[in-house]
Amino acid sequence: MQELEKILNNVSLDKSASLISAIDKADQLKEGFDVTLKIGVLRNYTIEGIEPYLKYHLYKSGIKAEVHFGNYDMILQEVMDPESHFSKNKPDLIILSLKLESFLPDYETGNWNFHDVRGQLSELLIQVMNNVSGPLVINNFISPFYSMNGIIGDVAENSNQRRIQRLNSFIEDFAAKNSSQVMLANWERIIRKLGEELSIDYRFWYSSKSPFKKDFLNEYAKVVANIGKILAGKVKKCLVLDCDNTLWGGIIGEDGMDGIKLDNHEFPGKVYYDFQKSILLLAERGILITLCSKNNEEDVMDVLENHPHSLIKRKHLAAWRVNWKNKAENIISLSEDLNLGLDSFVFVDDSEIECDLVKKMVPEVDVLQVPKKIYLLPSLLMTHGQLDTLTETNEDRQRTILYQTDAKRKEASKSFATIDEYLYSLDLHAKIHLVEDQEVARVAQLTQKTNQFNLTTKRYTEQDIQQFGKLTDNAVLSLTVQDRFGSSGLTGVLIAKKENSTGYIDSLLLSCRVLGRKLEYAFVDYCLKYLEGQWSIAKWMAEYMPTKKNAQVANFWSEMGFQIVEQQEKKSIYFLDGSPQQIIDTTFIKINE
Amino acid sequence: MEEKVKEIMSLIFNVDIEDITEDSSPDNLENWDSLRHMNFVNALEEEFDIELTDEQVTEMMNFKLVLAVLKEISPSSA
Amino acid sequence: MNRIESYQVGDTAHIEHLITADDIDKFVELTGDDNRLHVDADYAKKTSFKGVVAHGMLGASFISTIIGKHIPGDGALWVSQNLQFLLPIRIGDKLTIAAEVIHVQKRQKLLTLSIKIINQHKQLVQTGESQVKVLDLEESKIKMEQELQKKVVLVTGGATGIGAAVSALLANEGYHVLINYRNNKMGAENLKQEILAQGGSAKIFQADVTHRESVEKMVQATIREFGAVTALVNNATSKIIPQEFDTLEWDDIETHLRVQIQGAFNCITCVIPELIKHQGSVVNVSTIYTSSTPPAKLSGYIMAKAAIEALTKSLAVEYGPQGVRFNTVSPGMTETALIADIPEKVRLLTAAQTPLKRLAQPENIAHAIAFLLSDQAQHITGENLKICGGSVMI
Repeated sequence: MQELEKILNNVSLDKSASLISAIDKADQLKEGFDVTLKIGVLRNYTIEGIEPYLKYHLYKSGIKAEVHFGNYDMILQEVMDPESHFSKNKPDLIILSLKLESFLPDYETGNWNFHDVRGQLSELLIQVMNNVSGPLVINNFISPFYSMNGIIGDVAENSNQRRIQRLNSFIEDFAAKNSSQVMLANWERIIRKLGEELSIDYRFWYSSKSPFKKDFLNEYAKVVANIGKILAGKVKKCLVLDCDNTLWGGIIGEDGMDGIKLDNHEFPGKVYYDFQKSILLLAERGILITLCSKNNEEDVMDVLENHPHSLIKRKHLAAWRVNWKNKAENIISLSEDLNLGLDSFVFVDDSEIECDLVKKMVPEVDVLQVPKKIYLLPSLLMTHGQLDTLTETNEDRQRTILYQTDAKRKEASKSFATIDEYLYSLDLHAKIHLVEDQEVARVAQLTQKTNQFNLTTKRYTEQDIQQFGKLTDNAVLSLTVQDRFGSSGLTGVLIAKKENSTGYIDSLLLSCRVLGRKLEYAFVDYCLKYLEGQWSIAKWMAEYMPTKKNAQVANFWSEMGFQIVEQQEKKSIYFLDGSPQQIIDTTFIKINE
Repeated sequence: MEEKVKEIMSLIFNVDIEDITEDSSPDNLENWDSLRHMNFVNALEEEFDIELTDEQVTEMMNFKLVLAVLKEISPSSA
Repeated sequence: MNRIESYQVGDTAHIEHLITADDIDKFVELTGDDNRLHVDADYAKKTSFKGVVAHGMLGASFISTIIGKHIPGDGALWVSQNLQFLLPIRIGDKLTIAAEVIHVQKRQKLLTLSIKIINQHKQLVQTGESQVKVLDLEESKIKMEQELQKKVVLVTGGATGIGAAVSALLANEGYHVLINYRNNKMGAENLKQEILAQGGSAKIFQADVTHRESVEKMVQATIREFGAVTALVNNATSKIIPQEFDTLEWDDIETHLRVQIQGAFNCITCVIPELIKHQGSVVNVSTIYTSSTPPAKLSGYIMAKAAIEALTKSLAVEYGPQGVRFNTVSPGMTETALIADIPEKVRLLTAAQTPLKRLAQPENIAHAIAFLLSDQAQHITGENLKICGGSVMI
């Protein structure tokens, strides 16, 4: 980790030489990565220039990227031929990068038929989507920078501008309709942000069909890298926010309720108001909101509950540390409390000193300092990229509540003498069944995000889960948990397949929310017995694949009564002859009642 | 200027500075391909704050020619 | 030189032989002619000869000896012979067989010999007339021997650049070199000293090749000094000055034509008799830029170079039968003073775009010229040899 960090810290993205050289060095490293992501690029122009930027952003998150470029302009051949280099490479993430000019050489002259082109494009997108092995990132097109017909050109019914906008609408619709597999890299937005001058390299476009300058490549790479990070399970799940000069202007302890700046009209209060709005949008996405502030707790809560313009309320918070301890300690405490790894946290503070401290003491935490140009604050978290999910689920929207009920559980547990008494008192109900359609998204999300209680850490997309459901020899089972405090939601997944008379457990994972209640034992026990009935099998094989994060489950299969058959470097193989024996008492859990 | 150019070449083409000689060219530097040539052009433009025409881009066929082209643009810096 | 030319009317040769009984026995055994007159003493006494006589042909056979060993000796092809047997030849006769050249036909390489065989009594025993062809069987061997004796080259514009390189190289290969210069006396002098220091043979001569009298004097001086002229390198060239065609006067163009074409014309015409005599050879220096697309603004220069190539070919045809070869070398951009005005970047680009990735050195051209002048190129004439590192391949 050290070496990789050192190399990447020396990069300045506006100095090509430093970037290229750093990536060359990083490519050679064996240490410092905890997952590899294979990216395949299908393209009709020269886009190799994106590789160093893509790698830079992925390497920064500890993801080793292998980038393979398909043959220029042979997109369909590459995907449809199982023997092609591209197909054999089996990329985890596929980028379909299309330049309109290569697709449609006459596009500037206007001599093209919209319906024909849309038809061709549609055909291409469908064929690629159906023939690739993983999620697909497509792009929309860049409208011409000038009108061929002068000033009247843009307004004409059939102008190029309009037709390309319609093509872009088509592409965006396609991505939306196929959102379980397809994502959009929005070129139009990047161009708007950077402008023609900083984006397009006409010189290299004409000489080598390489159209983009480094800023565009960097932005494009960031979009793809963020998708890659989510696929690799490297998502941020929780915000830790300072209060003074972060959620409002001024210091509550000194300026009082009337003195702080928080307003839905006036500057600078409006800036903080909009920032709070952006935070709530993230909460809707399932991101947890917490506070970490050096203040009196009553003062802070007073603002949240009573200030007329505070959008954030106490009920939005999953937890908080408002005290005079050092912030690094507080963040560690929050991570333990919420049972989340430190690398799922994003910390926002206005103080350079606090930011530095956190960066040094808990380097896994992402640190964002409130910008000096305060008007840039509202967009700060919107462009972070790792606060995204690939799918949105109900659980996401309710997550804060789920965490809050969890807090209650913790409080309750403190008043019991033994763990068992406590567990009994919870009145746990588990619903275990084959995954239903409306659960597919959540199940996929769990496979992408769960790192700790995850036996094999295999990441699946919605499409994958749907596919499993269609095959008779595959099964996906979900676990939904409820207790006297409330529902924890869908928090466990088991994926198995049958081969001859043996069952193979491909995946077993539980959200950390529901750990510590022996639910995992009950879940596995139930699933295996159920499948034995369905498949008429009497033997089971399972695996444990160690990662940096799942050490806690190293002995799980042994605990379930499996025998270890083989221990390799990258996995241990277990075998169970017959049905699982109930070694651990889970009778306090009611299943499917 | 020569030293700066060698430094940039060493970073872009992934070779030790000592291995860059007068004769260095795509024929003897393994990583000097068309893609890296574009990176090289960008790096030179960043370093010297210049803009190269597409003719000049193709003229830079070896180390000596790179220096000759740069001299053309700013005869003073040698 | 052909061997026939070494003979004149009046040349003579003779041999002597004593006829023995053994000679007659050998002749009988060889020919089977055992006529009793030659072998039976008793029989012979009864004839008018009063004794054994030698076969007439035995006496005549010594004509073969004279022709085969003396006139002309090697290369003799005995074409015809008439014989008159005047007196018998007896055992014990001492014969003198004499041949005299009475006619030489150079064109046909034919000698006519008058043969007289006399005995010890000075009586004419046999007479005859022989026609003998004199063949040049080992011509190349003779030529090389001759060549080793005399290799003399005249190099125009020999003080610098390609001219200097070829002068030095040929001197090293045993040529006597006449270094022609127009203005660069010091360069020529230094070059000569260098050659002499290496044990070679060189002389310098100032002459503007466009002045015929100067050229004549120069050639005469060469012959006086070295005894012959066996090779010529037309290397003197006009300066390469880029000029747009519409700014040119006829004079500008004529300068190129005068220096390159008229200069070559003067030199060639003055040395051609020597070249024919010694089966010599000429190399004209042209440029690669006539073989493909020339650079812009050099119309006069390119015109002249194209003309010199045409001259090479025409003269190769005309003088080929007389054994004089004409060839051209076409150098690519060569590292000499001639390219001093070409910007460095252009030179570097030219080198980078050549397969061998470099410009030509004067030595590269010199070696090609030396080869074409040498006997190893004896079957090469009218050729244009490009020395351009592969930048043009046709």
